[in-house]
Amino acid sequence: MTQTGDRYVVDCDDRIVTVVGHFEDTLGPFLGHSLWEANPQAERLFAPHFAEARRTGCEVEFTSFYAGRLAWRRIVPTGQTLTVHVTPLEELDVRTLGTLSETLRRVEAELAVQASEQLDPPARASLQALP
Amino acid sequence: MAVTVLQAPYIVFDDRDCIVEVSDLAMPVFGSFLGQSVWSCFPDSRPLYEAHYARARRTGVPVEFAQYYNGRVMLVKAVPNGTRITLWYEVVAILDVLTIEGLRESLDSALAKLVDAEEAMRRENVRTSLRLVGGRP
Repeated sequence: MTQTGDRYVVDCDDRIVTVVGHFEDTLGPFLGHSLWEANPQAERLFAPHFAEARRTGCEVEFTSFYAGRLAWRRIVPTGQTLTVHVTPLEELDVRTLGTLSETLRRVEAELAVQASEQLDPPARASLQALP
Repeated sequence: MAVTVLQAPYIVFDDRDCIVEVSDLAMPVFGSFLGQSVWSCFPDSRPLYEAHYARARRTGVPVEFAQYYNGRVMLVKAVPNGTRITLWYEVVAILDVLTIEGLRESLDSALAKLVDAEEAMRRENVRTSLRLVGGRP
């Protein structure tokens, strides 16, 4: 996965403390405010992954659709502070029914790939058991 | 289903499809495009709208249609006045792209409204034709 430099950092209360790249425009005005205030309805999608990263202390990756974009997110915890790296995968083009249909198909195909990868993780133990 | 023109925002095009008038209600969307060609402002919309305007100019009769464009379903009424067109419009559905669930739900609703509007306009056209055949204007 090719990463862009776009990222933001939230503190232990999910307040935005740093923004880098295109987040300077979108989240910059919300510095010091809750991420959920800046991104309505995102809490339900992102918060469980944030909680996992904080609980385990390990990086968490996930793909999700939000605000017209499908993006891969990598959460790097440092204590209770999280750095969220965001790599865009697909963007919905709503101009015409044709462009909407085409981009929606790509988004759904990518989501289906992600879902199947989650359902069918690499079976390391089985592979190691082979001669 | 039809555009309620007295309450709807409107814009006026000249014979070159330049926007020459924008109503107060249409100002937020079209105000900054006053004096410009609608096709240079919204290039993707040309294949969707141009034929309707051409028909209105050719026949001298208002043309009503439902159209999806840029995340919105609109009812549109193009009223010819010489080579000018007054375009009344009403937004009846807006896509919600915030979440995939919202998108699916709003897309279903928008497409249903598009189909309903097209069907209502088709029925109205048939009624108008029948009235004309029956000698009633």
